[in-house]
Amino acid sequence: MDILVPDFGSIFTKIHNPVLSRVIAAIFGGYLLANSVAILLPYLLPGSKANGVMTGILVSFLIYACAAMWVFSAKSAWQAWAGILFSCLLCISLVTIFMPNGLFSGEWF
Amino acid sequence: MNGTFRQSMSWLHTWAGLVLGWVLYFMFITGTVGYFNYEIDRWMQPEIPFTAAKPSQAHMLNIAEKRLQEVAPEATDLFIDFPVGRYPFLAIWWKNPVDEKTGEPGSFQNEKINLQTGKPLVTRDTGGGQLLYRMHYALHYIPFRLAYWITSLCAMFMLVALITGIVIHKKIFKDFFTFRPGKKQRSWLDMHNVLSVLPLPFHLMITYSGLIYLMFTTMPGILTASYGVGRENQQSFFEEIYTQEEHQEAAGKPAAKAPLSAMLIEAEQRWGTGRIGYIEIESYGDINAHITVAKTSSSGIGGGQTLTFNGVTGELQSANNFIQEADAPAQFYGVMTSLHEGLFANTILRWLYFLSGLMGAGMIATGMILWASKRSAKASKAGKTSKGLALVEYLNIGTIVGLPVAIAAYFWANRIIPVNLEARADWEVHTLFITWAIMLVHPYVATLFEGRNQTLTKVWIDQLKLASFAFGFLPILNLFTTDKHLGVTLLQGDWVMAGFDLSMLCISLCFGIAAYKIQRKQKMRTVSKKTNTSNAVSSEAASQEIITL
Repeated sequence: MDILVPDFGSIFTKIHNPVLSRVIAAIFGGYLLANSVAILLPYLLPGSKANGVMTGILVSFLIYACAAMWVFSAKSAWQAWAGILFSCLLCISLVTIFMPNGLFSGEWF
Repeated sequence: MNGTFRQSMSWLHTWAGLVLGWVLYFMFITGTVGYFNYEIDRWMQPEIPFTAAKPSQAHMLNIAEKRLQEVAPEATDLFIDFPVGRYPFLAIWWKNPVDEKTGEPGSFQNEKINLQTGKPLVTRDTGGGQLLYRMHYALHYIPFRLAYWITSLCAMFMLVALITGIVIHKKIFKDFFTFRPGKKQRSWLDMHNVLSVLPLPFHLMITYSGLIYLMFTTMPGILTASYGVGRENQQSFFEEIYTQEEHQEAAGKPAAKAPLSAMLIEAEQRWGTGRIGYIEIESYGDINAHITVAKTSSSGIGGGQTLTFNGVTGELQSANNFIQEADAPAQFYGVMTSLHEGLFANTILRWLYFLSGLMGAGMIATGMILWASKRSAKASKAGKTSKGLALVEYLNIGTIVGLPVAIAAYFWANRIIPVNLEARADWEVHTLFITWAIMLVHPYVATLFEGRNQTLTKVWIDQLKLASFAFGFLPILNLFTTDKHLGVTLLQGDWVMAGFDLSMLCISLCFGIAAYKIQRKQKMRTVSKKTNTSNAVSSEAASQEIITL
């Protein structure tokens, strides 16, 4: 990494920009993953649904932070995206299995 | 990224800390100042008389009820706030009736009461310390919901910067005792380490608790996924979490009004005298009326103890302890948010909070200075210039010193703007932001005329001097504009007013010392450059070591 300020202009002109890609993966992918894990948690934790949801929300920020760190430590931007999206998919499929009527049933919309 | 785990975390630490660093600095400064929100409120409303001995709460309740009878005899939803702990006012709230034309529910109106006369306290229109405090999460000029998202995003960056900061730290314990002054970047790095590591528990607590404070706004999906869309569906969640009592709405059937004074006595028997924070009265005079008496929040972490009374018979219905009765997750949430607010903190603990907050701001400031300092050394060596670097340098000066100057200007405006000017409270805030804008532009404008590096040092010195002046003259301005200056307040033992003035002098001194030190260093450097250039080269080489992190 260049010790001087990177040329900010190029971030927007280059179509394939690994750094920008990681930034987006960390901010948006990380948020998505934090939500996915937190939505899954109430089904895995013992105790009432409300307590599970509360715990999920409370730990979601830590998951977010860890996800962001993972994105920047991955070998390549592609790998970072793959890891984030795979984890999200895994959580959401588990939720769909656990949820009595499935994730996108009446409760949502 | 490329290289080892530590290297990629170091990169992330650098950039996560920098990109929103100035907003974070703003949040830390205004939030830290907010630990003294009531004290600042008091200073910014010098019309409030000093009362050495407060009357009993029973007497104050009497005054409040009398005044409510005068201003809003018809109102059924009332609220009485007692001056207990740091809170300085006896204040009353009442709900206006429903607007018959539009059908909109009535808004709450409030008034502060003069304890001696029982009449309303007429104070100047000001946002006070409360507004400064509010800015640290709601910012200003933008809708509060948008602000919540922005401040939460900043806090998230902060959390990442903190965790990566711990990860990249090889010798966290040793660095704690290391300070190498007078060595450029290395000194900045040491200072950054001390300011980060010493109050690290505070930094982690304040960042995380700040995030969860707004979690129902920023993480709406989790709740929605389990409980469905809409307020009604989600209400059942909050009822489960907080075991809230169902309060019945007004039935529209008139009934007797139970006397409040008996409830106050009941509460005093449980908590001791002078411990009541507020009394909330709902649907008074209706068959479903109920009254909540709450213990002051300055009585301990999660002080949220309340007594609920029947508003018709006056009989005690339930005694609640908000946090203790909740399950573990909600309890954890309650304790964290209490720690964030620090309402329970007494004088010494409050000052510790204040200092920890300042150290947090200092950590951010030194981090950003370190960023610029490393790169400017490299750039000047390579004979390059960089627009991004210049921008960071300008923002650093204009924020790190410029923001405190702007806050001082806010206090100045409070004393200078005429008391009966229309929307004067707004103008106080405008003064703050206009001053800050000038401070931000100042470094850029200054560099247009002269060489960059010397000018930047001069701009640092100039702004530090200005800050020192702006804070130092506040007590003098106070002397000329009010009758509550140090000469009076110190003799009376009015420690809130006097404490503010003395703190301003302290802050002024700190800025003055900083300005003096930089000035002396700059003089020494110009002298040594003339006599011995090789010396400068060797120190440059030493600082090079630290650049290659």
